[in-house]
Amino acid sequence: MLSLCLRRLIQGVPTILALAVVTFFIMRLAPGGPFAGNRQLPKAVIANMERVFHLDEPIWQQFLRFLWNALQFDFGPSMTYRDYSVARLILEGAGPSFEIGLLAILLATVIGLALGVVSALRRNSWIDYGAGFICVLGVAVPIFVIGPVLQLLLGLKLGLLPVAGWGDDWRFRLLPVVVLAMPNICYIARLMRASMLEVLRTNYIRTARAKGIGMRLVLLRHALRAAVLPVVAYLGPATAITITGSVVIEQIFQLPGIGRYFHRRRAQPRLHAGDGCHVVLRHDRDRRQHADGYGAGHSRPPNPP
Amino acid sequence: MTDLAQDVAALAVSPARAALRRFRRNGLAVVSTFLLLLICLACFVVPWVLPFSGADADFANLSAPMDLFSAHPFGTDDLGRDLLVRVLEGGQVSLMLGIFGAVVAVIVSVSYGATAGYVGGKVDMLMMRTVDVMLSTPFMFLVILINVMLGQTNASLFVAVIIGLWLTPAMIARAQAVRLRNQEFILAAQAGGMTGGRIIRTHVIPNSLNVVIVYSSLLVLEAILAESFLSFLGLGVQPPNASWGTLISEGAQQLETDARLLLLPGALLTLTLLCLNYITDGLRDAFDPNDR
Repeated sequence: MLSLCLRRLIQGVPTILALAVVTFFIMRLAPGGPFAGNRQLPKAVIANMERVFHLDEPIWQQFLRFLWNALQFDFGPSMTYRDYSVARLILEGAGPSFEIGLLAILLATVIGLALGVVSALRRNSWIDYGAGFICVLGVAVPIFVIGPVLQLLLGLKLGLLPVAGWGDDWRFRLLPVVVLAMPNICYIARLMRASMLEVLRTNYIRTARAKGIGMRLVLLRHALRAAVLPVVAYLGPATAITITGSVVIEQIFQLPGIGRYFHRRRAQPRLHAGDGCHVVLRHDRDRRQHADGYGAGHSRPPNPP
Repeated sequence: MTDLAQDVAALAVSPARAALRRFRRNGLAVVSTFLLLLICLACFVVPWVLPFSGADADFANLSAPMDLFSAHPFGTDDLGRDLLVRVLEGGQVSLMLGIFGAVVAVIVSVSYGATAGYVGGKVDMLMMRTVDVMLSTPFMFLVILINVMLGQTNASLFVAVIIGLWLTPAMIARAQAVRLRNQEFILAAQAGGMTGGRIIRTHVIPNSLNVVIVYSSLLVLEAILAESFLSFLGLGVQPPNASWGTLISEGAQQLETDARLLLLPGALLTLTLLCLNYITDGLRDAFDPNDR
């Protein structure tokens, strides 16, 4: 088990490295520079600034410096926010982002699994059709439509929840988490329903039932463990959807997370903040995918069908 | 020809026609198809018929409320632009981008997947590893990189949408090409002296296309979703041009004063995505050979 984990982690290294290379060189090759937008400066001043930021070195040297600093979680100073380092911006934004993201994935997994299992067990009942319809809606209604609509309904019209913002109160978290979880709830429920139906049809479930084991025990011991596999495998892509979604969520609900730097920093060439966020988020995603690999190795059914 | 042979010939149905027949029995899918055609028709014909365009400001009617029997059935926004026309014109952008994006994504992915699958070996591994890396990179990062490279133009939006779409069908097409590689007709073509490139073009691509084509209606959905997502964030269509995403974004900002600006484009986008979803389900049920 440990060696599986380690192997997965090592497999992630070249991917992260490739990504760092692509990010770095595209940012460097793009036209413009951090000082391009400023008013005309004397040549000597620009040369001085370039020396301070090591922009006068050959590009491979800059790249190595970037890698080495990134390993120490040092991404240089922010070019937009004065006196802030990129690492500090990331750390400060990471709290809300991870909280919302983790809660959303947790919520999506729990509700998605429950919906999927129930609709598989009560196949073709009104519960199944109801859950199916909710799932279609969840895929067809984009989060940037349902988010503002819920803000309007629950926040403005009924006044039950804060419309936007961030604080210690759980009510600030409710809407962002639910909206962010919505697409994943649907995907997970669909996956779980299909795989549950497939598992329930297998011989070993029938054998277990024939031996006289109760339905509840068969479900818990045999069926669920086998049926949950596709969902565990899906949690990697789910993380990607959640990260992409959180950019929108943080804009809609005005959250102080990492996501807002992504759209704010657009059109500003050669910003270190982008590089930093990129690599950090990427790294985290990879780690989570490896955790999935671990999970998949762990929850293999005791009696493979 | 005898009568019997004629009867049999009349009864025989091509697979495509049989699939179409199955599709037509699926009520929800048929209704969705009609609804989608109606939306397309409205988007492309109505703004052309009306005397004013979405960019024309009507200063006598700023922020006019919804009134179905007036000159502006769904009212105007705070600059006096007719909301209905703006939403329909935005729909033109979204639908065109969705359809062309899906078409280009299919072409790119099938060529790529077919080449990788047919050539095999190291080339295949390299090509598919690239796909893996891109697939595990969150979409936002790719979009930002493209924006940095190409600037913020409609071309970069189009490229971003396609980059987000072509990966999964490329994997499907590759799997099909691997299956085809050792079949007799390919061997025959090789023995006959056909070059690899021509085999890929005349045999592998056409035979991989039919596997991806059912998936392509889902691509239209995803392309429209991706376009409106990016436009919502301000990375897509730039004002004064509008798409459903930018209209929803503008509407969300005026949520408190005028929810109508959000609800109309949001509802139309949702309806379109719902229709595409049911059409995809219907097509898959009709064409999927495993499910017969």
